Amino acid sequence: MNGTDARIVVRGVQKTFPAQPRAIAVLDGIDLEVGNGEFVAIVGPSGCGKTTLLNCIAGFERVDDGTIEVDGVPVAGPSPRRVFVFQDPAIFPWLNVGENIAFGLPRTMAATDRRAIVERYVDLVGLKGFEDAYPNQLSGGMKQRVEYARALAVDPDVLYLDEPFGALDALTRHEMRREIARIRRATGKTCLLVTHDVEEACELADRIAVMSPRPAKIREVFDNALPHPRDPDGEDLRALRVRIFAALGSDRRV
Amino acid sequence: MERIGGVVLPVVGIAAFLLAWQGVVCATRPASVQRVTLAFSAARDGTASAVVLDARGDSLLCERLSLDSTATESEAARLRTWIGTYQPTLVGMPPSDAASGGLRSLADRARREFGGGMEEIEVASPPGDDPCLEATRRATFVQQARILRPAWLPGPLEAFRALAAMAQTGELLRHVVASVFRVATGFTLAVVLGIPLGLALGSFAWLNALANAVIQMLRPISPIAWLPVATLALGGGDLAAIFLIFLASFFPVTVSTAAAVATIDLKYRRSAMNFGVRGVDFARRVMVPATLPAILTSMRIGVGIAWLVVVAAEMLGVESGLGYLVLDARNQLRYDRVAAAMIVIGAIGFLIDFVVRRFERAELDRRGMRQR
Repeated sequence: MNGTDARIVVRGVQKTFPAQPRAIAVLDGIDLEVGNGEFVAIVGPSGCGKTTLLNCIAGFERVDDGTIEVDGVPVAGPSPRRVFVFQDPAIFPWLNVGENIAFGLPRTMAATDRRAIVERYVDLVGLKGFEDAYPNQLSGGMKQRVEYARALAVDPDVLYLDEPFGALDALTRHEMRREIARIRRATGKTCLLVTHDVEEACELADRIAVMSPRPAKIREVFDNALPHPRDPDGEDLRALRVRIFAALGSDRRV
Repeated sequence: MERIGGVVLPVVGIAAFLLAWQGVVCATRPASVQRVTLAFSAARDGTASAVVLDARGDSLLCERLSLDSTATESEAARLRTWIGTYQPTLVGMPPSDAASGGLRSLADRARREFGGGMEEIEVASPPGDDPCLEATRRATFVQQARILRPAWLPGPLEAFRALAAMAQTGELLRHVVASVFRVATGFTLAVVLGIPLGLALGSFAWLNALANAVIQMLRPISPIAWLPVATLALGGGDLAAIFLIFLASFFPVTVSTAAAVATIDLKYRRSAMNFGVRGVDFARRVMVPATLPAILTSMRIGVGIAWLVVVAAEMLGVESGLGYLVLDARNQLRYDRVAAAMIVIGAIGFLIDFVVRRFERAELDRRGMRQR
């Protein structure tokens, strides 16, 4: 990764949560770069601060020290250019699928344009015919698809994915993983994924950053240039997984 | 089975309740009327006859009262003595009679001292009869027919009979309209002011810090406690009652709305923020719809409390409404009408809750937020 086409640059980020009896140091000098159009995954043990890091990068939380820049500009807050995809779908239950997808579009946009965009992304995530359905009528996987469509509808530069399949059952999770890989190839968005699922990270990401337990640092970054579609049971991915598990300090064999 | 449960069971429940009600009335009612009866009859010449019959129908006393203005005081004193001595059931005369007005006020004054019910009884008696005889007939009629009992618990039949009578005269409708008007006005005011205030309190921490202590201290004060102050400030009319209703529903609506805003899921706030939706846009597109279920529930609770409070508020300072009806009927010792008014209060309260619940469900359905 050369520094010139880096889209997201994280340098020396420190984050401490005030707590009793003593403050909890969560992030302890994180350095990370994400290139334009690159898919980077951050894996780490549970509770290590992955989500906190992503919240900081997205602008939802402040860092105590260090800098986060996107396209050379320090992050001052969330922006529609960089959309966050939540662990359980944060689509609005009071809006139907079409209205949810159109939520981030400017109010000034003409109705026909809005309709066209909604239609395009409904198609992209495979929810044709469900435009008028409300979230409580959808399955977990379908809700997650709506959330992706809503995020993509504003045509952002970056997607932040916070364990986006964590709330899904195993079967749906695999399906959604393939779906995301497909959508990613179709749109070419820069993606930053936080997950504790190493298999998921290996299947989706171009590079995988491994975080240490709290207070967290980036322990190691693995390149993963295998072509898509990837076979999760293929020899190369399996070897990469073993290396990542080793970096996480965990023996995979039971 | 579901159908049966939906219609039959509630009907069975209501029937069981009415039966239990009648059971309590029967169990607590005195076995028979053992009290003596004091009956009056007024002739056209300005005199009235009073007879006291004992429980067996024998005459204990028979006297002619003179009803001109000079004699009124002494006659009242004598009536007091009789009523005090015999503690009788009082029976009056039809009000059409010329002398009955004076007699009624006499009897009223005497009755006030010792209590007891005063009833006017129609007895078919040819005009020109001896008033003393007529009074005796009246008293006998009462004792035989046992129309008049000492004030006792009214049963469901009496209550519904009184209800029908009041409905027929239009009296009931007048009171219902008065109460519903007060609740509608006060409640609307509470919603119109309470929801925006609640949204603001939930949105701005400084405003909440400023106002919360005051609100939390005002909230536990029963609206009824405001009645004296409200009457003093707003006069004894509708305004004071409406103000009480306002207070009754304002606090639940405001506090629940503020709490609902404070508990809007962080992911909704963040995703709105993420798409650049903030300020008024955020309030309209996220805050209001997200808190709508809680707001609707608080409105239902608010209107319920308002309906509870209106009855109490109408017991002072106004001369209409169901609360007034309860108190007025009690003052007349017409407990059947008290029970009838209670039935109406319950029925309307049920109806309001039903309608608001329907509205609540329809609104949530419309937004795909039906709570299961």
